[in-house]
Amino acid sequence: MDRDTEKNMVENAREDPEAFGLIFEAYYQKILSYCIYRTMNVEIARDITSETFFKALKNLWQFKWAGAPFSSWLYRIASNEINMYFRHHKYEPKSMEEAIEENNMPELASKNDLEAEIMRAQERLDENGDAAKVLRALRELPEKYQEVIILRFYQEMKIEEIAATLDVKEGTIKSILSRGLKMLREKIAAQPFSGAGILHT
Amino acid sequence: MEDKMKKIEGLELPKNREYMKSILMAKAAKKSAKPVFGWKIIPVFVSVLAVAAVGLYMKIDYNDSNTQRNALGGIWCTYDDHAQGGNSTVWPPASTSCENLFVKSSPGYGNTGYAIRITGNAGTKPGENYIGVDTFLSERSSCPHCNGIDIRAFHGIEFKIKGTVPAGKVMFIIPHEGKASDKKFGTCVSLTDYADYEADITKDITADWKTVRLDFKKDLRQPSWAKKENLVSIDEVLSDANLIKWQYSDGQGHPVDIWIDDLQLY
Repeated sequence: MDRDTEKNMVENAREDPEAFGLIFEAYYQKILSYCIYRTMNVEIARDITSETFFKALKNLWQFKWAGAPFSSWLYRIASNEINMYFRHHKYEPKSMEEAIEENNMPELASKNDLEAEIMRAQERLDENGDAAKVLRALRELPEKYQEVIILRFYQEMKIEEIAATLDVKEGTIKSILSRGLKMLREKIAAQPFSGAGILHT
Repeated sequence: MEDKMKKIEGLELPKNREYMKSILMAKAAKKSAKPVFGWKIIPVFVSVLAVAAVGLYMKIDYNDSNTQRNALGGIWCTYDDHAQGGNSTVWPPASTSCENLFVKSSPGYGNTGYAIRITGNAGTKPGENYIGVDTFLSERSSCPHCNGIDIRAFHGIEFKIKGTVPAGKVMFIIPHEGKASDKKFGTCVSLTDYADYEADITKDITADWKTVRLDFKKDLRQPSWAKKENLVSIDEVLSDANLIKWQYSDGQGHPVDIWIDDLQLY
């Protein structure tokens, strides 16, 4: 999405609730995949994604354009939530539950469908051989390396976008990336699984 | 190594996404009431809600068991026109003071379980000639609590119906009610003077079970006799819905027999 389109969408969302739905549609999958790759847990990723959008909705009026794309702001909210999850080893999303209560929305009969969908995605993630093993090895790195590697390789962001998202200089991102990849190779090499072969590709 | 860091396919969660979006938009609607972003057009917003809920459904009552309450905790009741001086008759008997006198009948759709059945006639008094059955959308929707629920996340309602309706009309109705209870009629007070959103489903009632699927926005209208001061948007009605009802009216005393089953919001 080009910057002008994104800007229009965000400005519209400040005035018109329908436009926040468009923001959600535009970024939901990106934020969800980022959370999945970071946590390797689809249910937690779903909850963090939900919290991210509720927080974005609540704080949209505080968002200011400072050169970075709007998506950077969403990624930053998601990153903070993910870090909180890693620190506490649990995650309790509050915003969605509160919204359900506030709006007196009854529980869905299709809740089982929602859970089944999560289980299927988790199975796909777990069955993904080498790719999943690399992600697991990645999780053993310090958080700042995980974050940069995932944004670069799984979210396909440019160095300058990662820098804007994390509010860090481009040179620092390059350095984190280089060190992170080296550490990742070492982790993988130390693991007795077939994914070790990817070291030499 | 970088080329092995490929995206994993099949990690989309379309149903979770739609559910999350519907809740998020409901939250946004609340915000719009307090104009945090200067939002003020709830009806525009609600069209997003409806789209958001594609693929989701909420059971109201499948009548698998002979319980007096539906899946949302609300009770079933019949009603007649006696309080207005009419001479209709309805079975199961109508409640007069919020008590639950309803009994389900069997078998339900597919020759299994139970169904909601009413029989009777709408009487012969001109102007007051109706009977009906309703179900509340939560435990606290019925009088004296009158606390409705927000069903804007759904496109409409689906149910099975069959029966015998020799004359007159059967309407599906979503009343728009306030928080106060109307002791005279044993109901929550009407905010539209009973000019509520409705759909004529008479032609759908035949000897065999038939599925009726009503889109709240496309199929329901307030009656033409609704006064200007009683006109309200469907979104406002759905945002705080106490109950849904099926009402038969006729001035010639024809007997009717109506069966309803497998109700869900979609």
